[in-house]
Amino acid sequence: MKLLSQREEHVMLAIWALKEGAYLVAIKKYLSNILGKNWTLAAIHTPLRRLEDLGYLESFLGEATAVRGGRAKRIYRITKSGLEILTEYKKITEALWANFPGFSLG
Amino acid sequence: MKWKTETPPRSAEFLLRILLPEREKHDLLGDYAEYYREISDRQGRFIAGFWYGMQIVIIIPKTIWNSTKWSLVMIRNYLKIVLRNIIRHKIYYSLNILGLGLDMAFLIFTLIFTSLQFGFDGFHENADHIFSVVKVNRAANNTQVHSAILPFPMLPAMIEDFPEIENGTRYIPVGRKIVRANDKILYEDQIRYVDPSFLSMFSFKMIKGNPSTSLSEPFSAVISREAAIKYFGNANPIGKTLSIDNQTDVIVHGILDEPPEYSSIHYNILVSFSTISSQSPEIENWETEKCMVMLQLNNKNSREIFEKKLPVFVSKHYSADNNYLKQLYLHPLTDFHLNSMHIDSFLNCQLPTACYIFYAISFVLLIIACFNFVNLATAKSITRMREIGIRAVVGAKRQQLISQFLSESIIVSLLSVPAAIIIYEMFLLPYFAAIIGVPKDLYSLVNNSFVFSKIILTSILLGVLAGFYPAFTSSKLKVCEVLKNNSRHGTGGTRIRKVLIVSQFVASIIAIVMTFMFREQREYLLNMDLGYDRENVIVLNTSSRMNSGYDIFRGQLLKYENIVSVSASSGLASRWNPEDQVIPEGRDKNEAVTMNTYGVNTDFIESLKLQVLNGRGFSRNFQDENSFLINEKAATALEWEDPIGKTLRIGEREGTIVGVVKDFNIKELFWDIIPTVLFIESVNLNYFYIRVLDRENTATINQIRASWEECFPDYPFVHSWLVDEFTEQNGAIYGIQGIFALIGFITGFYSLFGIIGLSIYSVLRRSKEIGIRKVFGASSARILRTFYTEYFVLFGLSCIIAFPITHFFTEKFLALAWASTTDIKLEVFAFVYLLLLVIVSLSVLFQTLKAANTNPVDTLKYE
Repeated sequence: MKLLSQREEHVMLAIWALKEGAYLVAIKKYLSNILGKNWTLAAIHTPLRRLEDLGYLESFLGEATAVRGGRAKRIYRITKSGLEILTEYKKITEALWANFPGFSLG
Repeated sequence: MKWKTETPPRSAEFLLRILLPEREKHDLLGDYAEYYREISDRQGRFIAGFWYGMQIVIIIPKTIWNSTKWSLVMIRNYLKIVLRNIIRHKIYYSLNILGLGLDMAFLIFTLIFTSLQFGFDGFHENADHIFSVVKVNRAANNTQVHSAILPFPMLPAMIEDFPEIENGTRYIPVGRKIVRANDKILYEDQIRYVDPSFLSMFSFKMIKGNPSTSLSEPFSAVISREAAIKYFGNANPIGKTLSIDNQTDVIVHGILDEPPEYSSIHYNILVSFSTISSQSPEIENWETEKCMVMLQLNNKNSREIFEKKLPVFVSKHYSADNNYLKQLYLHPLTDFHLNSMHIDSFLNCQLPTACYIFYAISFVLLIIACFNFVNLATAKSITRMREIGIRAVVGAKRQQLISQFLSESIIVSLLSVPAAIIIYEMFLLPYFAAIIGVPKDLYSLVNNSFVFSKIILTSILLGVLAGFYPAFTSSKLKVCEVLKNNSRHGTGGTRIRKVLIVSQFVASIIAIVMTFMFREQREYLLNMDLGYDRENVIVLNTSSRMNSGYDIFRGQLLKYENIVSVSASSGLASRWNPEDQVIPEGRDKNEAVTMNTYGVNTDFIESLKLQVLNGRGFSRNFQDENSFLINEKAATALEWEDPIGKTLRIGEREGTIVGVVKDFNIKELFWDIIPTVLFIESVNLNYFYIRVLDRENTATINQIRASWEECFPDYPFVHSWLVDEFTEQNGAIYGIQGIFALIGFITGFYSLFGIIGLSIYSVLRRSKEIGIRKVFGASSARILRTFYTEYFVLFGLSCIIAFPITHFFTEKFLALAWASTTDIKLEVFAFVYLLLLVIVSLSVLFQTLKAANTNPVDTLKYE
């Protein structure tokens, strides 16, 4: 199993959450909202490329909109092996977090 | 339509489109556009535009990395394919590389030759601010004469008047002198009188002695290393005495290195100028002009200031009504060699024509090399159709196919560089050294490393040029047709290739015919009737100081049976071209005729067997001191019904015409015969002529030597045969002949190569046709004939096209070089055509024969 970087993990989770609307700009917005950090398009695109090369993601061209200058969106979807690795990751992460009780720091 | 204004700027989008990877180009552009709009909604168009621009900047390094990485991978693949191809088709590629190598070797020579010619005299440290002073004189008929020979006091006067002068020297090349050192007596042509600053102005290397003092005293000399060995052998020459013309004794104070090959200034013995000033009363005289004046200015920009002040200088030192000197100007040292033909007898200058001719030849050869490359590459591509097809099928774009072919041709032409270097060093350089006498080490690549970058650049350029056409045609093919093995391809290309082959043949015919025509011209020149008899004449080098013993010497020689006639002249027949203005009786200065004026003694006419047509020759029975003989041309030019008895004036000399001789030519043969006058010279006689009956009689030379030693014990005995001098003088044509032979060889090589390529191609293309013909009963001979018809038509066409071009060029070229030329001989054409025909037939025989003898079963089994 190939280890994912944290950003790759985030990107995959974002795609899962966005379902059919997971294309570059949307992923960027979603992550920026949750993480509160304004990422560049390239910063999202690089992990997308890598994940697709690894076979965890697949992509197809979706519909075009006027705002895009009439160009199609590239929609990303998690593949079966992508799903497997996410499940695996969830297990590992939960195992690692299991002994951390959580504090109220307020 | 708000959104429309908020799309990214078009030019930026265009840039991004180029930079983005092909695969995701469009959706990424969409993503960028969408985000651009968002920013511009939130923060305004300016920020959005800035952001968009930044994206482009960010993406550039990545794009560059990607494209180079992938093209590197592909180039490695192309390289591999090329190497495999080379190994598989050894003969094809090695011939190709060899051909290109030959051309490049010629280019190497051209580059070195021209750089030496254009860089002549450039080795002097101060080269860019050394000048020679040149005067412009008014001559007859309102013409101007440029001359660098100036009066002695010019230099001191200039140094006084011009603060810009840093150094200056006078330079007097004197004629042949007799130099004696201890027991050795030799003739010396290269004695120069110079001022002491000569040694510091010019960068000749001083081996022994002090450059600042060696020439400051009168009667001191600095000699070249060669001269030191010539006169003193291994002994130390410093402090030894050299006696010039048995008159002036100078003491050697230093040794100077030989001037380099590419120096306008040559010397064997440099004598201090003060030697002259201590002897000669002319030193303050502005009327006698004997020396060149060379100046070193403080920097090269002073030239303009200097020349502006020259008219003032002229009016100060020359009276206003002087009717000859018009102006003075500075002539830069770097122009001495190639840009001084307009100046009267200026050092050893020449026209830059040779450089341009070499450039032109190299250029033409490279073009032909390109033709050849194109020819062969197209012929070869027929066997590579499948490879191209497969590449196209697996996704090679046309652009990639083109770059494959281009990189292949570049690789092959780069491989020709080492071949060129080997060919140049091993063959071309020794060849040129033999035919035109270039010094080997000077022209060796070791000393001319600047050539490497140039030839590598040229070879890449050549590769691109030559690979262009085949790359485009081959990549244009339709994949399915290629893979179906449909061999209709390449028919369009054949026409172009035939044109190329014909032009190669034409070029080689021109070069080869010219080579043979130069041979003819040489024969013609050497056997030409020049109006005098050059056989059986011995020439002795003499000195004008020997007049007193001449009559006794002549008297002694004429006693011998074998010796017919003895005479003397001031120049050497076969390379003697003195010109002067001759004013005929009753006409004024402006009607002067330019004539060759030969100073000879009484028996010259008899010794050289000049024919007297009218009147009489010079004779001892008359008082002939003031008699002239003229030639037929002069008789015509002077327009007198009967020139005999009329008077002429040449400078100070005035005399009466006593006879007319038949036209004769004792000049270098590129000069035509012009009106000529012969006068009796009694003082300045430098050559003796002795006509003998039988050249083979060796006793004669010894008899002459014995008399010489008796009459002129202090003078060296140097003899030669007039006819040998003549042959040597006019043998330079060997060099030109050799160069054209080389060009003929290279172009001939190419055309043969081209026709062999064509034969391979057409045999392949027509293999099925041959099979069918054989099945229907055609004999091998019949098939051979069909093939040969094609080649012979091409060859015949080339012959027809080449004929007028060659005829024209040869005629022009010969007329340019020699005053008198042989007729263009049709036999030469016939001979060259026949020779080429035989070679062509033989060279295509192998391929064609193989095709004609194939079993039709082999070629038709798939039908």
